[in-house]
Amino acid sequence: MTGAVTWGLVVSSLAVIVVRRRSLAIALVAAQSLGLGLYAVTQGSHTSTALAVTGTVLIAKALVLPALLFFTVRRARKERLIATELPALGRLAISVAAALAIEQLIPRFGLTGAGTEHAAVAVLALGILTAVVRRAVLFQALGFLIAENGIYLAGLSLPGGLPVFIELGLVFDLVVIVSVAAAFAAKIHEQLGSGDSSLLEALRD
Amino acid sequence: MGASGALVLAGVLAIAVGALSAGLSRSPRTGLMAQSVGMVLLGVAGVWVLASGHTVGAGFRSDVRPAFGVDGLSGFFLLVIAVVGAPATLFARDALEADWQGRSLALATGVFLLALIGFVCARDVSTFLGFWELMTLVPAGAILLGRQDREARHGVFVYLAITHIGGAGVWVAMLVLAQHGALGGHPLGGGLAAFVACASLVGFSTKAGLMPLHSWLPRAHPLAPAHISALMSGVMIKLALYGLVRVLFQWLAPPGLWVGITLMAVGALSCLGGVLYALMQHELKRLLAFHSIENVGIVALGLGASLVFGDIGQPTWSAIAFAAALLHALNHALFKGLLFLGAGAFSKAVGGLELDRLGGLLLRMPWTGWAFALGAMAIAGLPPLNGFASEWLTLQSLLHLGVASHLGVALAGALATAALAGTAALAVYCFVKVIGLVLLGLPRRAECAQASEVPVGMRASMVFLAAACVALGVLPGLLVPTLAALGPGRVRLHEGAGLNVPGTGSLPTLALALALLVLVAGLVRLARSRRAAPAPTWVCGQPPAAGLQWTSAGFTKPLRLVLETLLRTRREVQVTVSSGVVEAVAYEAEVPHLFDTLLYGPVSRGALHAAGIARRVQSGSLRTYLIYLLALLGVLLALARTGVLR
Repeated sequence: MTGAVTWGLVVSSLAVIVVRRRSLAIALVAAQSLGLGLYAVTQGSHTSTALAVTGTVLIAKALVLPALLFFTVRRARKERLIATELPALGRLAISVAAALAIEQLIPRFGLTGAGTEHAAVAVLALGILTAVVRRAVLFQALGFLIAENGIYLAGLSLPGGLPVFIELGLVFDLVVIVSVAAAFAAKIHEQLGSGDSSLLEALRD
Repeated sequence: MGASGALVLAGVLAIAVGALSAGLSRSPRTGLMAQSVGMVLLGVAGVWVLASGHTVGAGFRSDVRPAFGVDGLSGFFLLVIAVVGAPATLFARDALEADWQGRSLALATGVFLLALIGFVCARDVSTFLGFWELMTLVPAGAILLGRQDREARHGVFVYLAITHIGGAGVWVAMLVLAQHGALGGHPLGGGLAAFVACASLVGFSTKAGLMPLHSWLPRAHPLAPAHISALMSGVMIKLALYGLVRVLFQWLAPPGLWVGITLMAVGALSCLGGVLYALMQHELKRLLAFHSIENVGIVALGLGASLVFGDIGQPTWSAIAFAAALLHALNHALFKGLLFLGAGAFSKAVGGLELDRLGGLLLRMPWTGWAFALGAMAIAGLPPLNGFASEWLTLQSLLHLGVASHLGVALAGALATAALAGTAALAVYCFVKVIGLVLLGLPRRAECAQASEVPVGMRASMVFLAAACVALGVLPGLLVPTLAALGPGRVRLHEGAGLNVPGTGSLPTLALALALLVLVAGLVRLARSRRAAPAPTWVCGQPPAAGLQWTSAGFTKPLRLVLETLLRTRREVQVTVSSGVVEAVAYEAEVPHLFDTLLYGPVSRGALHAAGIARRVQSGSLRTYLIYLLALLGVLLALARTGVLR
């Protein structure tokens, strides 16, 4: 795994935490998935068919899921400002601090390169942290996509890649999660005029 | 596969087809008839296996591969299911309407019967536990199919909550037994056996409705349609005792004196508490539900006595007490099934079961009324009916325990004897009230005055059960030796029509019945030959009026006053006075259920308080849960780094 790809993945993950425009965030995640997929395909063409499957799945993920999320954004164009959202710098500081702490705590788990291993953990952690620090449902769905990319990054660095069935299972789970999140975001927007998931807490009895 | 195996399969098939047919066709009548036929086939198969002593199908095994079989004990409990299931489905055939609700209830009835049968035929731990859960869930669904009001929903919630929390004991006991190969292998012994005994006592006693784990029973049983109530009260709670018998008598090595004494204590509390609270009830089905607690208590007394006799080295008396318990389980199934079906018939005829709003139904519904009266006399333990036979046998066992050389055992036996004697007396008191208020006297409302007899299918089912109560009361000796042979030590007892126990004489039930028949015939003849002028009954110089009759509360007031300290009756008298003249007096009295106020109330309040605290943690927000997840991950990683977790 080249340093450019791993750094690209980490930086794009951090960018999703700070950007305000939803379409830009979707584009960043799509680019992240696409980059990872293309790398897998190029590697898979001369290593094993498993990697080729990985690449195909990732390309599908880079096209289908972002398309679904763009569709959701188009349906909920007039996004009201989410008042309780942390400022961008605050989100970035919390996420970087938490990701670094996790990096320090997680022991080596046997990938070919130490850099790739750190990048995989960072992308996974930043994905989960995106879902924590961003209140909009759409960003939370993007956080899961980023975390999934972290897992793929680790899988690509395994000798022989992930087994086909595991990859297909993962992508199926992801499609279901993002589809539900998209439908959920559209419905929240329709009812509350905002995609802020914290507004739902007021519905508790 | 032998003939008995073929009968079991044919019976199960008939019930399954009947359930589907009842649920899918326009009218549930044919499907319910098929279910009734299936129950008869299973009853015949049960008797066959019980009498022959052979086993059909697989034996018990400690793995999870599904297996089914029938041995002597399962055969007996198949008979218990059949003697209530066949008349109950026949009753439902005329009682249920041919609408969506009636069809759904008929389908649920079939599924419930299959769950009960599956439970007694299960031969592995997964099937046993699977049918155990199904047996709990199906009647809950049946209750909600019949009624959707707030009271029904709350009753079902309490039923499911208590039986599932208590039922955890069954899961623990069964899984430990299976893990140690005790199902079908060597009985479990040692310290683990004590743990399993405790778990099974809690688990099975909850479903059996033994005090103090009974609180769901008087809430749930009255809510169900009559034939489901009959199955729940007559059969389902007995199958919990079947599970207890399997664990304590077969899968555990002799569990020790303390288990027998505990079972006797719980039984004594249940029979006395059950009948006492039954006396204070003003609604017929709720009253009958409390009597189920009483009778399950009597069965527990017998089982506990059997364990104690086994421990002090008296195998013959252990077998007699065991047989007494099983005989009472069968007898209770018969008369409680009869009484619940009778209550259903009255409800259908007059539309309500408040005791103070019934009356005069024996004259207007003679078939139902006489069958109900017979059931009431049987549950009250009057000779020569079946309740008397099994209570007499249980009493003999307890009396014999009272003269044991071990002081603690003798004391337990004496206390248990006193509890059973007191229970028998109070049961007579209670059913004098029931017969007087429901069947005799003047009708207390127009619906009772206009009541007419129910259709022939409903009547036939009640007459069958009443006849069985008489038959088992007159000829209990035909069954007792077979039941004793199922118990510990496989003791052979003397066979005969009556009851013959060593050392304490015998009960010549047939001669007693004949003597009573002659006495009754003589009295009837004497009464008919009497010449008296027809005149109105003397009621303080005025014609009889419904308002002057005994009320439920009035009848039991002497007992309430005597036991006021224990029962803690709440009374309220409101006198409306206008211009110095008393215009109205309103009197309200309530006997609170002490187990609810002193035990379940504080426990449920504590649970709700804890839930309130837990709710603060449960925000419902995805972000919060992710923070919890990350925090947990961080703590675990830090612990791993510092070497605490290896």
